[in-house]
Formats: sequence, structure tokens, C-alpha cells
Amino acid sequence: MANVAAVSAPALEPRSDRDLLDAHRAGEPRAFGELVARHRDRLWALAMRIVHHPDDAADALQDALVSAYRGCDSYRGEAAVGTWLHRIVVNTCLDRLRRDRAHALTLRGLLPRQEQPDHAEHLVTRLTVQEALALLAVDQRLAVFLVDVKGYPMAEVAAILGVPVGTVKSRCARGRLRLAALLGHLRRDLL
Amino acid sequence: MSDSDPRVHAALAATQAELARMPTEAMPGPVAARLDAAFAQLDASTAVHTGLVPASRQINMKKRRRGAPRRLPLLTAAATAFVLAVGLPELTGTAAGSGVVLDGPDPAGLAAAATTVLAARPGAGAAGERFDAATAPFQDGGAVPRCLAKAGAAREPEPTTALGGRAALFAGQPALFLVLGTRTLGRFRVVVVTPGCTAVLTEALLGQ
Repeated sequence: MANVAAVSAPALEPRSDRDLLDAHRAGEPRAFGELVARHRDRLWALAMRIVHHPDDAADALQDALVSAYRGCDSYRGEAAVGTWLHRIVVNTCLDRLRRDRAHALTLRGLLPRQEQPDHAEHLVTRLTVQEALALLAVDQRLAVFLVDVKGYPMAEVAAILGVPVGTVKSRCARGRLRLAALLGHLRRDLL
Repeated sequence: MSDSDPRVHAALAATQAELARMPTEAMPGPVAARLDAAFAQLDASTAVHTGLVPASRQINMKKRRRGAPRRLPLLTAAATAFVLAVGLPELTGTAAGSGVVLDGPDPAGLAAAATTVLAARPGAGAAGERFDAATAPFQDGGAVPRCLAKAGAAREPEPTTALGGRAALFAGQPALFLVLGTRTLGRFRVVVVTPGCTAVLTEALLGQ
């Protein structure tokens, strides 16, 4: 090839999550986007399990990740970068859930009192796993989702949720039992 | 309930098996695009970018726009058409939303120009677009392979998607500066070709 002065950089390994976060801290554009792209599906699934509605999940996820973008100096290296991102998403989604619930409770207080149906007792048709998961308390749901659906190690789930490993185990145990009943695997008289 | 009851064990095992079979949920495209846009906006608001560009080569665009006189090199008539349309910055190895001036195949200069092209954001006028008028045709996915093939520098199976480009002066010669994607995130190929794609003047692999 005439008139070509090829200049090749040495072959480099893909950067680790930590490398990308450090690059972002150093001001490299797109480093944070590249980091998030590696985790985006898992973070999306996590947000959806907490807030359920796609619009709410998208809002919560954006709030969480913009917060992480700006607050990258809060990362101390005590957990993996992915764990840190997961924890920020969990906390942001839970904050949103609490805010929405407080708003809903305020509205409910203004309305005539109605009996709340017990979904488990009035189950006629078998629930899908997603539907059954949605009926769990959020702390049990997150523990079961991260451990049994996503296959994360207990210690990582504990770090994401900010609770001891023993708490994750007990939440999983209680959540699985309730799910077993909701999914029709366990007769109620055995509960 | 007894934990040792085999029916409970079987029920829990079936539950966990069902949980493990839950389909993976991918982030919907519009949500991913929205996040990308949010990060791009945040990136654009960052005052100093480092990384590909050594600090010594970073460009104070505001200062340059305010006062620095633009160099008007002697150009051939054929080159004048596209260069006049975009102007030329004073600094070498830069892309200021106008043309790129490169002294030669200096990697630092190529990296500086590539970074500035890739950092361009829509909405900031000419400087905010990744392609200028001279390189706009390369937004067509087939244009880069055709150009490289014509120049006798086809790259197969290396992807040759153009991510951005600028009209350029390379060692005083009219040229087109193109930033191409590769199979590796964060790694780019820059190619400088003659305006008619008759020859590749230089190329470099940048990034990590």
C-alpha cells in the first residue's frame, strides 16, 4: 500500500470494570457508558423486580445511574464495581417504592375503606413465576430473585442489599416457601 | 410444616427449578438509548476529558474560538471547495468542528483529532456533529469499504463502520480524516485518505 505509514498500538486486553470506573473518574468520555452497558440487562431486570412498571423502572434506573455517574468517588473498592452499581439501583428503586407507597397510602386514607383481597387465598388459576414473585414482600423478592433467578452468590447479594448473609438466607427461605404455595408446588396444609 | 417433610423439599426444589428457568429480561432499546443519551449529555458537560488525548494535547476550544486567528494555508483548487466549507483550526492534530490539520502520522495528533471527533455531540452546531459536510457520505455503511477498496486498503473481516470524520490537511495535503469502529469497545481505527479515496495517507489503531 503506497504512502501509508501504519501506526499500530500494542494489542490490549479488554478493560475491567474497575479500569472503566477509574477511566471515568479521570474524565474519559464514554467510559461510564461502557461500564453500564456491561451490566444494563441485569440492572434492568433488578429494577423491574422492584418497581414492576417499565416506565418506573426506566426512571429509577436513570436516576440511579446518573447518581452513580456523578458520585463515582463514593466507590471505595470494598465490593466489585458491578455490586456497587446493583446496590445503587436497589436503593434508588426502594426509595421510589417507599415514596410511591406513601403517596398511595395517603390517597387510600381519603377513600372508603375496602377489604384487600389475599391473592394467595383467592388464587384460582396458577400464577406465572413473575406474578408469584410480584406477590412477595420486596425484601424476600429481591433475595429470591438475585439468588435463585440470577444465581448470584449469597455474599454478593448480601453486599447488594446491605444486610448480613444470614438475613439473605432467611429471606430466601421464607420467600421460596411462599412461592412454592403460590406456584402450586406446595399444598397449603403443609405450610 | 416440617423441614424434613419430603413433600416440602420437593416443592422447594420445584420452585427453585422454576425460578432458574425464568427468561432473561433484556433492557428495552429505548431505555438503553435514553441512558446513553443521559451519559452523553453528562460527558459533554465534563470540562476536561483525558484518556486518548495526552494532557499536553488537550484543546481549550473556548479560548481558541475567541481569539486565535485561523491559519489559511495554500490549498489546491480542488481542496479549497471542501476546506472552505469547514474552515481550519490553528492547532495541529485537532478537530474543532471544522477541519483537521495533521503534520503527519503522529499517533498523538491522530488520537487528539479522533477524540475530539468522537466527543462531538449533536446540538452544538457544526462542532457538535461527528461528521462534517465533507465526510457525511461515510455515514452510509457501505461507503468506507468502497473507499478503502478503491484505495487498495480493504480490511476484511475488520468492521469498517465510520463513527465520525472531518475534512483534513495531512502534511499540507487535502485529505479526509475518518474514525472507524473495531470489534473491540474503546478501540478505534483512524484512517486518512485522499479526497477521492485514491490512496490511504496514514492509518492508526487507537485506544485500549
